[in-house]
Amino acid sequence: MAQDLIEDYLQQQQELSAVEEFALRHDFRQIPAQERTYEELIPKTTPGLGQQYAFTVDLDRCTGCKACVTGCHNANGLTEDETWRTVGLLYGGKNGDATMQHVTSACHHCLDPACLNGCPVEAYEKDADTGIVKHLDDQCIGCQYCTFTCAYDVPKYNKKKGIVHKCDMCISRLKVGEAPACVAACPTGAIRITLVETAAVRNDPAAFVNIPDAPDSHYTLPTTRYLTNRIFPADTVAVDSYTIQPEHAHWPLVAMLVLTQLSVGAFLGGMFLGGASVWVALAAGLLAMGVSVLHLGRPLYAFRAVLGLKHSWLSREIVAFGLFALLAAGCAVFPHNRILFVAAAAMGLAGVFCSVMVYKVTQRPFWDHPQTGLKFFLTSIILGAATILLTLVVFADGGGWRNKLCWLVLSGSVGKLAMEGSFLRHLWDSEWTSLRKTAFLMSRPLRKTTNARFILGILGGVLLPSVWVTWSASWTTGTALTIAVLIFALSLTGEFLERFLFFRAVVPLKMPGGKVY
Amino acid sequence: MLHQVNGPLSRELELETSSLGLGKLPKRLMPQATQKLVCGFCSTGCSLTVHLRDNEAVNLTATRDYPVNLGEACPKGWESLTPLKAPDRATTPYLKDRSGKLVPVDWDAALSVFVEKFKAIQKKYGPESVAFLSTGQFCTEEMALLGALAKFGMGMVHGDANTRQCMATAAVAYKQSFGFDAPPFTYKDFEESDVIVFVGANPCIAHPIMWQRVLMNRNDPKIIVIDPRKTETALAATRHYAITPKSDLALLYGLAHILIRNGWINEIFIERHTQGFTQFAEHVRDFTPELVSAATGLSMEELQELVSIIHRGERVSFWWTMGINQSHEGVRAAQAIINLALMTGNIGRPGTGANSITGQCNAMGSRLFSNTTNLLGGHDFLNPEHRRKIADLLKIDPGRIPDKNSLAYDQILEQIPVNKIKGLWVIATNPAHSWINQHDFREMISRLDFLVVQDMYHTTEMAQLADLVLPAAGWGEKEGTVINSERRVGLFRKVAAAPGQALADFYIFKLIAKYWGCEAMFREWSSPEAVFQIMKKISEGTPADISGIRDYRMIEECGGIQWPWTEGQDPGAPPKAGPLKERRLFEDGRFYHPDGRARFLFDDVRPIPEPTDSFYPFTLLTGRGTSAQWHTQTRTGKSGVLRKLYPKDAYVEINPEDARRLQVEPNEWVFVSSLRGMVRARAVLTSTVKPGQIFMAMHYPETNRLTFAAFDPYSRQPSYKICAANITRLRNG
Repeated sequence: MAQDLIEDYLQQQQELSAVEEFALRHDFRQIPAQERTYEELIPKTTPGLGQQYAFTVDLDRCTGCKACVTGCHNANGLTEDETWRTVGLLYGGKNGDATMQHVTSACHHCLDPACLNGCPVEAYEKDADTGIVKHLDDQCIGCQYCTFTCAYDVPKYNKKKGIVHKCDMCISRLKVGEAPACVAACPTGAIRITLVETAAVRNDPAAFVNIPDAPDSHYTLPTTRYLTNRIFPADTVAVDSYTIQPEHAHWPLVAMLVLTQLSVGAFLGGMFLGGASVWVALAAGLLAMGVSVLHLGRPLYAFRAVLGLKHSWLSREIVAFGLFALLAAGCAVFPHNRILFVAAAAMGLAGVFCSVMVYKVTQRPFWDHPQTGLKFFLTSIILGAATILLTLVVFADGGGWRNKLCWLVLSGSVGKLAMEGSFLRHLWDSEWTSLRKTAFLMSRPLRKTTNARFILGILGGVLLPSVWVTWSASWTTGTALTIAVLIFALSLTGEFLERFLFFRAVVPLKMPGGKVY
Repeated sequence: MLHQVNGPLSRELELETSSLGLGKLPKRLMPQATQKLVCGFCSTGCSLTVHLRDNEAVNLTATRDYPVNLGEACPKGWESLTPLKAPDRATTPYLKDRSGKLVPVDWDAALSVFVEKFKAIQKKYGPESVAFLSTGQFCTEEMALLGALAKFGMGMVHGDANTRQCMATAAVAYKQSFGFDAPPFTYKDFEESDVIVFVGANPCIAHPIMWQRVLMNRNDPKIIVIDPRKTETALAATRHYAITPKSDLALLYGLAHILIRNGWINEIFIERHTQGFTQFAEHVRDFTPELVSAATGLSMEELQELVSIIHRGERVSFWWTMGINQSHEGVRAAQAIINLALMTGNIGRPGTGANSITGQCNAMGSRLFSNTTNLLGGHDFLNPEHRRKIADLLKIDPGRIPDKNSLAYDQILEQIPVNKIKGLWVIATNPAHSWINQHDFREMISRLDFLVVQDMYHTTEMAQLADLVLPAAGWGEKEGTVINSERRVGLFRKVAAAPGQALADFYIFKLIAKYWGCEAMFREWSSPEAVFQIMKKISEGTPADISGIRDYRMIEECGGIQWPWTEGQDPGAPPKAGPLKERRLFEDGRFYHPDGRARFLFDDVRPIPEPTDSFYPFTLLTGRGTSAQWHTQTRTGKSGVLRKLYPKDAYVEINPEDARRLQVEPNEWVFVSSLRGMVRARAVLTSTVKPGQIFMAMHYPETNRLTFAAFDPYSRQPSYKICAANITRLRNG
């Protein structure tokens, strides 16, 4: 009896037929009832010549409710916790002029979009009519390079789908006179779409995204305007500037960089010494390229990566190393063709140069630093020399070269370690700069990795090579082999850790963030 | 292959124009129909249009043609559907086994244990020894059924709700001043004022959709914020007066003093519609600008300026929230605000009023129908006529209705260690996080013989303490009505199936009636809508008369209906037009006391309960953190999107001057301590809190391990807002 009632209620609880009652099924008004308010928030005309659409944010009306973030999420059908808008927070001032400012931002639909410039597969287009920077989801291979190049942390990688997504200013809504989701979702009407003169952006980039702690607008020429009557105190900072965390390691990229550099170094050495080194270089190069594919969200479409050759350093890097591998293979088969060797070497060096540029152009201070180029080429020298040394010992070859190679490993390592160590001086910078943050990340959260990197570098690159050049004359083959293996393995691991830190300790450019403790 | 502009990935995010007047929507989630429901978080009472596919909710948008929110919502509203799908939903009853672990049992076992344990306790310690603590978060019909079941059916005397923590002060203040608990305003008043005064309120964060209405005001209003902290609202205001914490009552009396001294009062209104002004004027004579300046930290010029702004306003509205309500003298502070409105004649006209903004989505329903502090419908347990009226309407023996008042929340808890209360039934609330001074709370709760917790989740701090957990359906999984801050009755609708064996609270109460053996008493209470008809009858003739609301469909068609609404009200309106969308009270100047006059009520200012000292030199302020967080986070913590919008760890805001002195660095973990305990929090350096003050958000369980349990003597509302605390570094040096 009582049990029947339980069953009855459980069944009623599952019934959704009541949903039918008053459910709205037939209302054929095509334009939302709020059209009235939209008129004030989106332009009456489409962009004319020399104009494009842009976000304009009235900061005095933005009180940090963050409805724009969730409204965008729902109205664009984003899955799980993906969000295309963020709301940051600035604090500043002493007691009298104390201020806080919430800052809503999405894609700034830049005139010179770094995402587009960096994309190796042409998965971005800047819409000719509207100026909106669109991402072509089906063209994307998931290399995530745009997440490095964008100065505003806009493209979001969706691991499940293996591609990035980003804000398209609700272009399809604008086309039919509807407001974008964030504009419609803002309770205070703080976000508007306006027409911006592109010449105005070029003439005075600093007038756009003119927010304390935001990246320099000259890099990508963003078009968002922030309006306010407030004056930000000089000490205004983003609340998240003290909550920095290490970035992703990007292991495939770590491996790819170190191995391509090893490969190019070993090939150059092999060019002069001949023998097996060329084969070893080729193997390392092929392995590097294989590993790099693991970084892609959609590796099946990797071949598209040549499309961006005209503007993308990533495309160029891929093409350069691809040709290097091809030419190096040619060298291995035709070991006496000098032209092939010269071409392969040039292509290899070009590849390493492209690698440097891939990171340099992101404008992230740790990457866009003279050390990056030196690091990459020194890795080539150190690991190239260590590889050849090992090859020579294994094949009982090139007796006269061994000490010279050790000197190369030794001097390269000393120089490189000193250079890397000197970077930590930024810990004592007077301002909380991006480089100081990187030094902080290395010395605190990544301390163990940093220590390991220096210990391995000193052991494999300094101590053992010193031992070699001092005593190796009297060694048996076995001892020499052991030491050569150790020099190679320790130096290689040290370089891997250096590159791991290269990715983890970088501080990306971004808009001010919110409280994220 | 080389260039793919369109394809399956692009199609996943493709938008298409809906045929339902909603504009472009994700094609993947295109609704076949929609259903409007009032949001289940705060008291603003926004309407959400839920998108349905195959009768199941798949998405939502903010309702455009609802008079409350006009197409907008805050992040909590936008993310309302996500917490329903959380993996830790209670999908079956749980009973604590011998080892103290909660193990699943079926409903029959759960209900049998419920009845057996509670009856045994009542047999041993008397019927009063079992009590309930309920909520402002579910439907009025459920509150009425619970209150009637517990008190009339199961013989309990004591029951209260978490509404005690948020608006008991406002309810008592209104009841004493106006003769009935009646917030007089409508949201349109935000748009029609020329001076808007917020006291202890931060609508930018706590009620963003009300702030939307403020910004719709076309009169270029002067916005005044009185708050110790420089909040978002303070920064957006014309003037911010950062008073010393809890000097509000002295300030409000001081303002009255200057208004009277300058003759800036509405003598005609005072004469015709109020009582007690002379005594009040006498009382505030002592609150000279000098004294008030010293108490509040405001300069004499600031006080004069504030009074001048109020005086020059044609339509001044006063709004308060928890800064006033959660205080050791909140009732008198709220009444001091009411007094300002009365003496300047700022009530009953558009853009005026002494207006309490409520907290929870159905705090107002609880105030009328929870059968806790008041007998159903705002009646009085002590009044034999009221008891007879309710007994007649419900066709029950008047002897079943207690002839004494319930103890308040804190008093119920205090009865536990002295063996007066041994069984507790906690419904849709999480006091093991939210109640003031957790150390004492947990100590008291541990002395119960049997604790039942009824909730959507078996993982809440309170459910983890329970002997029996009853799995409840949530917002969106059941129907009923709720009442928002401006007295608007709105609808909850069922748009999703509850998980597993979870049942609407309404069904759980009906089952308990059955197992208890009192189901006959509730035969007419067959469905939420049937209960609504009973509530209508109970309300007839009271100030909160809703007898003119025909049924749920009428509420739906009218976009919610504000009480009172009786048949034939609004004679000016065209026949059958239904209620006007926005209505305010007291337009005729008649209040609910028998003489029709409002009362001036006042008291001496009392010292703050726990002043700072050399061991605890900081004043700890508490409040809401972000718009993306709700109370103890049992729901908002379940949304990945919302989690991105607020800090994960407890944090403490501290002035950079104090931080420098203590050598506390930004983002560093620090200890915050009070006499009650010590917690870890991240230091946030900001000058928006004054030196000597620190701020923590209520959403983190750490906060109430520090708060000091003081209570307003009239409303018994806890004084969460201040206590003495200290900050120390985790590592010294």
